[in-house]
Amino acid sequence: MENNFLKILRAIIIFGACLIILFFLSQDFAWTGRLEFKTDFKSFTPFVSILKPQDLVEIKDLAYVKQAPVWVDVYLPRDFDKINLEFTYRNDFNYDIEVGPKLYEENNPLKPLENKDSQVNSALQNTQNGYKIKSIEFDLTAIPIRMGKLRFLISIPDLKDESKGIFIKELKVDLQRKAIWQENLRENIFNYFNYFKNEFR
Amino acid sequence: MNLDKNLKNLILLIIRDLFLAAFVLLIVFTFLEIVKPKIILNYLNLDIFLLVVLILGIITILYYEPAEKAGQKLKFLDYSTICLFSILVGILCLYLTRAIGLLSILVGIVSAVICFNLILNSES
Repeated sequence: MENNFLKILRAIIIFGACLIILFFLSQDFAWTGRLEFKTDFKSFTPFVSILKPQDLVEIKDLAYVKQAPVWVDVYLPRDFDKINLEFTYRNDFNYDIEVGPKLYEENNPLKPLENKDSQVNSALQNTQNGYKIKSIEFDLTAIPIRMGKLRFLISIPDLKDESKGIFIKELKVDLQRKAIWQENLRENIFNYFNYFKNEFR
Repeated sequence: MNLDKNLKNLILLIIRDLFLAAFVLLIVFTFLEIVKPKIILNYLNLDIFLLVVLILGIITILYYEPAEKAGQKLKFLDYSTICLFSILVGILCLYLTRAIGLLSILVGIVSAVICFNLILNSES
């Protein structure tokens, strides 16, 4: 009786261990087609760095950007089609804010996160306790990724006075690709290893 | 009193099995981390996991007393498990010594054989 119980228990433990390995692999493979994470920029997280350069940012209760441009590194465990960045921030002086991948030293393809001329209505719709919540999406298929890392630039051209910066409370990152049921399993695994081979070797 | 002893033995057996499973998981995780950095670390705090493995290991070493089973032969499943574990150790050694070129294959094979023999000797 005890022997049978132990056998069943061992089978459960082995099955559980296999499930744990599969679970972690499935996270990295993003089999559901999505990988979401967030940061408050107070410390490095597995997928998002702190805001850099560090001397342009002060970490108080929130990350305070006193000069721009600043950037943040996003680490991608595999190939993705789209990235959605959702910023929760306080822009008391209504600066124009632009965000985009940092590919070159200058003239990077930035998109407006906030624009003085067009922001009023959308900002009202996306405000929570004085914080604006705005998101911006980028197509990753056309952006070169180096060493599994993508650097995003946050540009605030009008920010000149260090005492009149912006507060960033949170950044939510949503990486999207085809789910495993929308893509051939072989193709999915091939794409993963292809990305791994190109980015990490 | 006897029931208490049986229960204690059963719990220790479960802890030992959990320790073995966690130890094998730790080896697999380490191997995966070597092959692709952060594949596990991004989702799991390995320090905490290591602590759990250590605690289970310490309990097993301190309290678990294997029952005397003189003359019992190893079964096919035992051999398969030992083989699989040895191959895993061999691959790990091969990967760690890959910088030395073709010799790493020899190192991998030798370490797998040594591991297999060590486990077999300790079992018998």
